[in-house]
Amino acid sequence: MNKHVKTQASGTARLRERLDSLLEGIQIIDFNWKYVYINDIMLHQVRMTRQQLVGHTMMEKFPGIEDTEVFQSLKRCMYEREAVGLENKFTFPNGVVKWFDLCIEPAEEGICILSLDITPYKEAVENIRKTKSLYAFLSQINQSIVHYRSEKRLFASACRTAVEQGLFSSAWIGLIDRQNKGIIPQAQFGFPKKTKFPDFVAYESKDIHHRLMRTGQFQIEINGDQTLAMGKGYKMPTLISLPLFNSGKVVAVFDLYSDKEDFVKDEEIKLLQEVSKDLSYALDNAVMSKRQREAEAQLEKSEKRFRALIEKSADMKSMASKDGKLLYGSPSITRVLGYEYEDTDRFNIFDLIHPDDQPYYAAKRSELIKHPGGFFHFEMRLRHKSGNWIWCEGTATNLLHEPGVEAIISNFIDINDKKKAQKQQEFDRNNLFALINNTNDLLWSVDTEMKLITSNRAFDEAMLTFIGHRIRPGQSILHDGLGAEIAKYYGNFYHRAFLGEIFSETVELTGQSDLWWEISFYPIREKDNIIGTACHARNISSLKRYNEELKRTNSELDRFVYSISHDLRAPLTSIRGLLDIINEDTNESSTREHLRLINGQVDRLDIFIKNVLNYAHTNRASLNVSEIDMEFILHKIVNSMKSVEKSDGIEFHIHFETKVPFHSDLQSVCTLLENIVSNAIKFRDPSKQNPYVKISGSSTESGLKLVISDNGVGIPKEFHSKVFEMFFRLPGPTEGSGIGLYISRQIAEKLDGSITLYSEEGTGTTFEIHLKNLHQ
Amino acid sequence: MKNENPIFEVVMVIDDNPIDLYVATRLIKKMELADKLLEFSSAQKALDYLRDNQDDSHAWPALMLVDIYMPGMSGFEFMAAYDKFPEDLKKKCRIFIISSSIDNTDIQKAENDPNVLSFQEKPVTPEFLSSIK
Repeated sequence: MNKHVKTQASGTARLRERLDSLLEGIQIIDFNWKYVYINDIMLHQVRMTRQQLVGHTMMEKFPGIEDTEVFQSLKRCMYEREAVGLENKFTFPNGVVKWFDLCIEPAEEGICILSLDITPYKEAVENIRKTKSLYAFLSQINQSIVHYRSEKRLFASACRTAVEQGLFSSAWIGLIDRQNKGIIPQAQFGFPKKTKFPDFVAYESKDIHHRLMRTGQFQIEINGDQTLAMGKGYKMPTLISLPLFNSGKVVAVFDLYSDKEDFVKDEEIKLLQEVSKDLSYALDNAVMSKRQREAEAQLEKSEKRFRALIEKSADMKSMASKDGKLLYGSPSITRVLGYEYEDTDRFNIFDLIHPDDQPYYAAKRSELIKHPGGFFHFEMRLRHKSGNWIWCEGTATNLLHEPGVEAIISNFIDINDKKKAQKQQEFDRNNLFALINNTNDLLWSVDTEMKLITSNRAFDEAMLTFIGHRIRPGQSILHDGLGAEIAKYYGNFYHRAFLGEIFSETVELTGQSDLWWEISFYPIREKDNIIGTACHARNISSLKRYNEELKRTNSELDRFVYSISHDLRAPLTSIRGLLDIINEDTNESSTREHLRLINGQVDRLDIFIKNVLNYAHTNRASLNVSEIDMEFILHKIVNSMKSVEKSDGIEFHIHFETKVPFHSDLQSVCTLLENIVSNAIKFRDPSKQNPYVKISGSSTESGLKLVISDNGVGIPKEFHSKVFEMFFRLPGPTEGSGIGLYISRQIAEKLDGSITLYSEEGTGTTFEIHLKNLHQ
Repeated sequence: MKNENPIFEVVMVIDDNPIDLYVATRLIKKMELADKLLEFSSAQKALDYLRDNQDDSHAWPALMLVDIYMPGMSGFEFMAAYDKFPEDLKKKCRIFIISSSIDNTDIQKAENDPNVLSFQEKPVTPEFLSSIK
């Protein structure tokens, strides 16, 4: 640039003019760090004359510049020929601090520095930041006022807020002790951890606190000796001491430290005074609430238990403005509704209320606002932070008119569990009602004083029919109109239940034809006491009728079967007798053969009739249990079978051991065994040389076991499951009614036993019979 | 066969069924069991006969076959009335209940009667008659 200046003088003059008139400061430094050129702005910026600078080095004019950060940038540009841009805070020798936006570029002579004074901009930014934080501080303090009723907590919060929101380095608050001329620190924040905080700070003549006390005004000290509170190690450029008032008297000081000298400006001081005022107000409140608490403490003595109860309750408290803005929320709100303390700032209480509950609440609330001191009860859903709804119930009180409160105060508790239980209960109750009403049976319960507790619809309707009106819960169950005798009759049932008996009774309703009821009683217990009885009545009239009918039918059938068997057998026996006579009289062999055939058919018919009789007997007759000499019975049965023609040549083996006398129904056992043995004979295998029927068994405590096996024709596998069916007959020429094994199984089951078949075609058949020993 | 059998002086058969009565009396006659055979189709008539002949030891039966189910007086009712006769008269007579019933109750009732020797299922057979001692 110098070259240009030399070679083009006129141009250079114009350029210099231009450069001089630029708003940007320009300085050109040569490789020896000497000023080559400086424009007017720059001269103004540094407050020096051109003569003072040109030809001199930077180090000469600004001692210590080598150690600054900006010089490092200049060096970089000078030696590495690299353009650098930076913002720089520059403290002039006269102490003035300025901010510059620097643009350093390599030039022929060395480097060229363009500088723009951005101090006003910087200051504005800084001011905005500070003001903003002071506003935050003030508003926080405002919040604290309503949040803290205790002095100590109020102070602690104010100190913390001053540092966190107000950008102060540290803060402390102390109460004035006028007598001893000092301050008793109450709270502090932001001091180094090691700082030993004194218990008492005496104010000495003319020090900042002394001045504050004398004037009642805030005091500022910049770079003073005000280290008293913090001990020797703590010193800050700025200390602002704010007086806090109670009833017009300075009662405390609020000391705020800043690491910036010029921290406070007029408008900021106004804000801080606001803080001081607000805190004073809060202090008034705190003192008031302290008095109130003292009064409450008095009350507590007489109502200690009641108070304890109240205080332990998890109720939530809120204060809201006329239009619903939440001014204060107790910590329990966080616990129940999940919102953090910070969240609650922005709330309008209507945002929390379930849309369905809003109209009612809004109506009630606007009504309340018209009545100072009035209150209303509410039950509504509030939105939990998670989005769920929590049922709450409580009271809203209008204290808008109350100085210092000016809010709608609400006390409420979480009744979600209660609601849930209520819902469940309601569901259970509806469910139960549906169940007990969906029956024609009568259901009711009675307490020990004979009063109806509850009843179902069927019961109510029945009462209407029987006694002409309903019995309502709480009314006596033994209606006066019943008459003494009937009342005593039913009363006796209830008394039995009250003594703990569970029982059922069949009752014929008097005055009602053929109306039978089965009434069951079941005591209701509460811990060890019986508090009543549940009753269940069932109309069993039709059941009874059916039973009677069935009995009649059965006995008719019995008589019928009996007379049939007799009437059928009588002619058969007559035929037999006549056949015997003919047989005696004739010598004709063909006649005798015919007689034998007729006899066979008569026998077959007779056996069938006997079987039907046995079947009827098995099904109808009750068991006639007696001791049975099994060995004797087995021999008797086998002997009676031996007269059957087909048994010729069959060898019978009987082996029985009576370990314990066997008891059962004799006739049934005989029928069962006769059937099995006669089958063994009937199905003998004519192709076998030594046909046999073997019977072995024993009787024990538990019962009888008999195995009857033969070497007859056997039963094909496919019929094993069928042989016990009624009227099933094996294919082939053998005569039979197909009822024998069916009856046998019926009998076995009736005698608490079983009958099992093992058989192979061509080999033989084995029946295993188990019968229970019915002795007792 | 008939030579082996003892001869009863008087034999009484009570049965309302004419065929059964015929069969029984026919066999008794054929086997020559009785000197005198009394046939009654009614228990009441038989009872009347016994009452009328209490004093005539030759008219008193030594063997009686009594059916159970008869119109009017049944065999059991007859036996109940019979029980009222003097012991020495009853001692002289052997009584069998004969019936086509195989009902256990009937059988038990018959066998439990001290005046009855046993229950006999119908028909009356030569084997049965010859077994009577």
